[in-house]
Amino acid sequence: MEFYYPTTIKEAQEFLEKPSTTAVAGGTSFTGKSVKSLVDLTRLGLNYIKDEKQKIRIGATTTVTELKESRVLNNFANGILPESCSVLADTQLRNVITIGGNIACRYLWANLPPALMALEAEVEITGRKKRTMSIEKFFESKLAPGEFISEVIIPKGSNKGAGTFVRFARTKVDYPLISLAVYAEKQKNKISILRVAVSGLTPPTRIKAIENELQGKNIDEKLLADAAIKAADQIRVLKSYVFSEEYLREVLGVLLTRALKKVLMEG
Amino acid sequence: MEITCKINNVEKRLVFEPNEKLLDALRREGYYGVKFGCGNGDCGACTILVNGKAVKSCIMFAAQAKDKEITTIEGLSTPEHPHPVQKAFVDAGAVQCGYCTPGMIISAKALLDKNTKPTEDEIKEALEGNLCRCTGYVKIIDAVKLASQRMRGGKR
Repeated sequence: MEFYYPTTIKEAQEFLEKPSTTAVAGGTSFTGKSVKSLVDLTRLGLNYIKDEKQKIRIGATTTVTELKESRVLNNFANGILPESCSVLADTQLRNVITIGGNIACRYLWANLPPALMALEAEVEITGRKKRTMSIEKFFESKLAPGEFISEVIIPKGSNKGAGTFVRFARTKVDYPLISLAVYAEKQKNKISILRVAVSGLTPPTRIKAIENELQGKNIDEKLLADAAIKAADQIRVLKSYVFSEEYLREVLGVLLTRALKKVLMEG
Repeated sequence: MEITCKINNVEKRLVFEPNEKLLDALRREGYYGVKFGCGNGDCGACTILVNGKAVKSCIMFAAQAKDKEITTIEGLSTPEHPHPVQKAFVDAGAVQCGYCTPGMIISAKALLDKNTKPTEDEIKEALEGNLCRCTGYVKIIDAVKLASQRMRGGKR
């Protein structure tokens, strides 16, 4: 086994093209896993949050603590991203877990992907060439050898609305069964923008059914609840050996209803 | 493989297998205050400071420590002159079996280094990654409050 310390993006990409190499940033996902060779991505200068005119650019090895404490992100879209960070793991782990790692590991329980989906974030992937894709697309595709996540880009288009992040777990430090992010904007009493994303009981995904159903409608408590419950019944739920499918759907329906009400009817 | 890093303000050369965790490398070097609890990043008994930030050394590769500044509980003080957080843990009765204590104290120190007057919620948040099976946490939180008071008052 080897441990490489690239200091440039080019070097990192070349090391990652070697067979059986894995990128490491925080390193928290390697318990009990056997790996051949590791490439440390934390010395490439990818630790930043840049507030640009149209976009917020977040370097892939920016830690969750840094996201949580970022003034820029706290003032953006009701602070959904820092909110999702504050309920992620615990203090010591937040100090090392990176935004890139939280996405790249594709864990069902990862908090950041649904929050980033609600913000319509994009992921920049560096390899021999650079490519950028929506975060939803990322979860449907694979990285080629030599490729790694280098940046997360959040468009600043819509960010004045209300948002919330819900994490449902048995205890505060347990893996969440359901993570839910909702972002919405309204004009008078009409829903003008709605983005809902979920993970935990299913791989990270937008719930387009709710978004399409409610877009442009007048805000009405019963309408929100009906849309939430209908979506919870339709979503693909992964098999769990601890919780029944019925239970998970019921909880998801309740959480969705609460989140929609909070975002659209309070404040 | 080998790396150099600073441990408790002393330049050190660490030798280890590339897949070894920092916890194991530190204990082999004699830093026994870094405890093995779960090995999964759950319990926090292995908490150390890396560049001033509390992290769990059981879930970090030793190789990641290259060129970093590490502080373990041994680096806080001497038996004759305990760190104010250590003194407060003793005075508040926050130590029972003691296994979680080094990690707790490191986490508390990391908090007090950047926030001299934390609220109870901030203390709980700072210690949420440290499990204690004995105390029920009440006296640990009391101890951190006491340490914060004393450190602000300049008393040890």
